[in-house]
Amino acid sequence: MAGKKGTGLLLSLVLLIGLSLSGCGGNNSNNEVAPTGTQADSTAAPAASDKAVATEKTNELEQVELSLYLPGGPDKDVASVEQAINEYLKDKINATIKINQLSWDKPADKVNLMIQSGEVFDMVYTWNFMTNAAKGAYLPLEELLDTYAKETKAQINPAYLQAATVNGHLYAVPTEKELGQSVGFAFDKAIVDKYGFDVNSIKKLEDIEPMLKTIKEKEPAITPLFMNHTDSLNWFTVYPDSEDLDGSNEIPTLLDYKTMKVFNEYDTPEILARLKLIREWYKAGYINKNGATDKTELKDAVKSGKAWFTYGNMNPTSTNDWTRLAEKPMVIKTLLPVQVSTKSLQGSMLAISRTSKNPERAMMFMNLIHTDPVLYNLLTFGIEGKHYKKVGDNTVEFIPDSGYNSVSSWMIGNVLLNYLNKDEDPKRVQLYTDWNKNSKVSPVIGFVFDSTKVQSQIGALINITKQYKNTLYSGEKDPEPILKEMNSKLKAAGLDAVISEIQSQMDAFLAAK
Amino acid sequence: MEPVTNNEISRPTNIILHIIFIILSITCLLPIVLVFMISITDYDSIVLNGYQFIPEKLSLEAYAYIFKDYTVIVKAYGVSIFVTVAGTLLSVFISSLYAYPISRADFKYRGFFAFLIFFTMLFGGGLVPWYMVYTQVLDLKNSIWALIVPMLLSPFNVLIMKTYFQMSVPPALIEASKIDGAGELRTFFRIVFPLSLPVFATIGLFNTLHYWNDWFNSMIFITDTDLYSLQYLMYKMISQADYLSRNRALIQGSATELAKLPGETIRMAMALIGIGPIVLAYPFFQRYFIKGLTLGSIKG
Repeated sequence: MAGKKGTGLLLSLVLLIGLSLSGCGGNNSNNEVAPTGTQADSTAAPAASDKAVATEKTNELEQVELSLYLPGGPDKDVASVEQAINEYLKDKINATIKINQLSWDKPADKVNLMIQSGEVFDMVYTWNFMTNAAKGAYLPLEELLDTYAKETKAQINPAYLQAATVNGHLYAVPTEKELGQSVGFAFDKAIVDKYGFDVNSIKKLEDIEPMLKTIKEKEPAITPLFMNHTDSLNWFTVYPDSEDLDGSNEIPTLLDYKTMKVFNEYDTPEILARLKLIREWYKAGYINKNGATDKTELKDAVKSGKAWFTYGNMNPTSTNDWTRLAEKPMVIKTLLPVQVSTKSLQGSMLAISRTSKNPERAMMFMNLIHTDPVLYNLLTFGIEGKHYKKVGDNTVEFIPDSGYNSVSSWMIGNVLLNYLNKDEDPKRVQLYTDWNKNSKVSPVIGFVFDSTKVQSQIGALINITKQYKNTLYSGEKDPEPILKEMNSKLKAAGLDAVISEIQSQMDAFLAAK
Repeated sequence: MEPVTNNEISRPTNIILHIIFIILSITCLLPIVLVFMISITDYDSIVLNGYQFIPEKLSLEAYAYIFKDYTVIVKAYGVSIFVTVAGTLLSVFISSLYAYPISRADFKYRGFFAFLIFFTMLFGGGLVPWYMVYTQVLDLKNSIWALIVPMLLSPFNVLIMKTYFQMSVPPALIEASKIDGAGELRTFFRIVFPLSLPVFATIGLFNTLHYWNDWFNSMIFITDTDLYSLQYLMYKMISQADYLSRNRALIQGSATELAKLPGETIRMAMALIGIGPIVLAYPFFQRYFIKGLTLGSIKG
């Protein structure tokens, strides 16, 4: 041990000399990560890319294999990407990486099984983050982050780290991407131009009414307002200054930002007025008849000309995303100021497993995917010439059926390090920066509801809400009696108990603040 | 075979019965025809017109998507066939080796072993310990044996075999072979086995279907595409198409290709590909199945 400490000190010295020789410039992509092993070298700052220094560093680190569990895929050609990554990582942190893609069918269940059985693995995308963090499935990361991922900590938005903190411990490193999400519309540009609609005048859902009328009169083939069983108008809340706080996101418990009180969103005059309006729209023939059960995707409805706009969550690059999906030019109008809540920030994060044998090395790897574009693009896009072609300095085009396309940048790392996809907006970086600047951070960021005490009520409430929500928002029936029935059922199922539980936790959170 | 006069059906009844069965057959076949038609319909025209027997616009996009990676499908077929054949043979063999001793009244520890298998039928350890055994004790994750070993011994099959041995192999016969100088193994393979072919066939068929239809073990243990079984591959393709179309917000950059999948038609094309082997194999199997059961019923 003493010997090891000695070499560590020596190493730090070498690093410091290297650092002073090359200066401290270049704060991200060229940086190397400080080596691990001893306490001493944690003081060593990231070294410059001096080859000699790098080799000496990696000699100190014995080679390890890190396993990484991600959603999606599995891709056929993942092995060749792993190999390329491993060659690249050798000089950096002397680790090899094993990418395990869990495919889209129940990946969370598989990871739960791995966690419960105590399987040894290193890094994992955080499904059921709250539950798993509370159970102790992940390693607390504060010290690791301070020691091995200084650059990441310096560049990441602090709100993100706050949202990944449970009971005072940081349990994951969130993907650096746009902050929060917003709700809005994506209109078929051809129709908008044809009738000269001013989409920028839309401030709330109600403002689209004249447009629906025009479409109804002039375009008999188009459903003015198309909805299906997943996309209904409940995207557009009638309470802009509020946040959904329960763990499920499926039951009617909103927090009013002004009064900091939790209330049942289905028991107010506002919701009745909104639902009555939808009912009017339905009667006027704006809405498709079986909206509550229709299974057609909005993108397909727009693509085939059955609908002329879609709605839902929007992000800074939505114009492009929707244009690509609907295969025709689209114009976006986002409605609310972008809301940044704990939940929206927890969207995609990477955690280190409690069973990891090499948490330090895993953290170094995580630091690299947040700061090293070479590694990051290798991981998310694959190998140049094999999985993608460069069509510009920073712009790439995917090679179809290349066998590596399901590791997406939103899953891990720092989205802004990515090359641009050929059909992406070239102003992406600017769009993201503007988006984040205009975001409104929730006053209760970091609050996380612990639902263990009212778990059974929440289960019952979810069922009731599901049963009524689509019917209410489809406009097919008079909302008043349905709302009444729904509210009495919700009450009987224990909504009040859930609300008071959230309220008391919220009060405690605010008091501690 | 000569028709028995007493059992002959009168002409009108015969016609009515024929009509009933023709209608029944049509109701069985039409959905498959519809599924086939949907699978070759252009996705946009499904969105506009719904399902139709005569598609407005044809498209083989769904098949193109599925067979884009035909090597994956061929491999999955290979895995499924290997697992089914090897699994069935092994599991029939192992089940019978367990069932035979506990069927013998002169086996000393009979009660204990019978209880052991019966106990596991009633009480299981649950998913997590089960998973731990295969991944950590046996280290079978991402191995083809993970698809075979978990289903090797089913208590239910063992009990069926045991009962059959008890009913159809007279103890006197075993005694006689012993007197004639046969050892236990010889008795089992030369006397008991030929006498019990029906139960071997029946259990074999159970296992064949079981192994062929299994997707759960693939889902839990396999992350290597080369080792996917056919059932799981199709299950995964459908849930992937589903997931991606439901979560468009997640689809950025590289997953764009996937976002354009023609959802509904893929599902139908997949159903047809899945039917394939069963349609071919079932009549073949069924013959043995019925034979096996009748043989058993006559002898037993």
